[in-house]
Amino acid sequence: MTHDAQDAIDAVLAVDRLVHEPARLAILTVLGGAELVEFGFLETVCRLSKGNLSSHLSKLEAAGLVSIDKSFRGKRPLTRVSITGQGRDALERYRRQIAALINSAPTPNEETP
Amino acid sequence: MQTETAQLSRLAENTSRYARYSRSAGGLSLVIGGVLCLAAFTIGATVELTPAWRYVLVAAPLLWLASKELLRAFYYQRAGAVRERLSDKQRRGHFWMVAYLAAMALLIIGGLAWSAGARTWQWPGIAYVAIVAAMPLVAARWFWSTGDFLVGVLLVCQAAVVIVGLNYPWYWILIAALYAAIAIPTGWREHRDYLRLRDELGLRTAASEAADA
Repeated sequence: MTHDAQDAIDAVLAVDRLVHEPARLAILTVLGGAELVEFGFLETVCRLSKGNLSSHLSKLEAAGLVSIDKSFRGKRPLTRVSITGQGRDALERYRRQIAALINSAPTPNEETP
Repeated sequence: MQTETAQLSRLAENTSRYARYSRSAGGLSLVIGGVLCLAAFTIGATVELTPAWRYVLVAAPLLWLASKELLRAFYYQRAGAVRERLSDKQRRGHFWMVAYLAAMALLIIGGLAWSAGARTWQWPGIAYVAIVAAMPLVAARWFWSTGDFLVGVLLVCQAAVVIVGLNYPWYWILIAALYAAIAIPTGWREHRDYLRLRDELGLRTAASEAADA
């Protein structure tokens, strides 16, 4: 195995798996574009069911990447989510890692037969 | 993977665009504000102001703020509230705008108290003082863009002046028209952008599914 290939594998293995999961990545991306997001909007744009979204948010909250505020508007429960500084750093780090991986991958023309 | 990265970037950008309608983008409320502003100054300068007309003009800024809140909650952000994340530049701009209005309000109230003495704290002077004092607070809560600032300040000033039985002279119609000429096209452009965004985010489909359910 070449040194470059080993580096690429190391880079893939170094990616934060909590952030790498597609649904959680979409959630963090949406949260990264705003200060505070209501549960309903996340559900609509991430195209996740309520249960699925709750489960992913719980994992992200446990890791300290998001903060969840639960209250009531009248009799209806109101859940508002925001990304924490740690979450923003994790998302930024993930983006940099993926960008580096994409840049290091050979383009189809460069592939050896 | 590049495709997914591009899709995520678009999702982040669309969320930011949607979030703007919580603060800095008024859309149709800015159009309403522009029209109200022009109408209020035209009425104030050309119509004999009966008490009924005066109360209508005092209510104009409240009507505008109500339209802002209702459009935000039930139209632009009906898929769920998303609060805009302000840049440092926007935050500084907003701070200085509120600070400027607070300083102006203090100067006006101080000047009035100096010249009118005890009459300042009697009706209708007290109503004038209350409206002027409320201006920076209203600005801190609702004025997040230049359009909001222009329209909002004019409407609040008009309300303060007419409640004490005065009115702005006719040439203020020209200033109101200029501000309306800025606010109405800006608001309309923001509204058109929202209609495109609604389709990109699939919010129209989600809303009709929710209605069908």
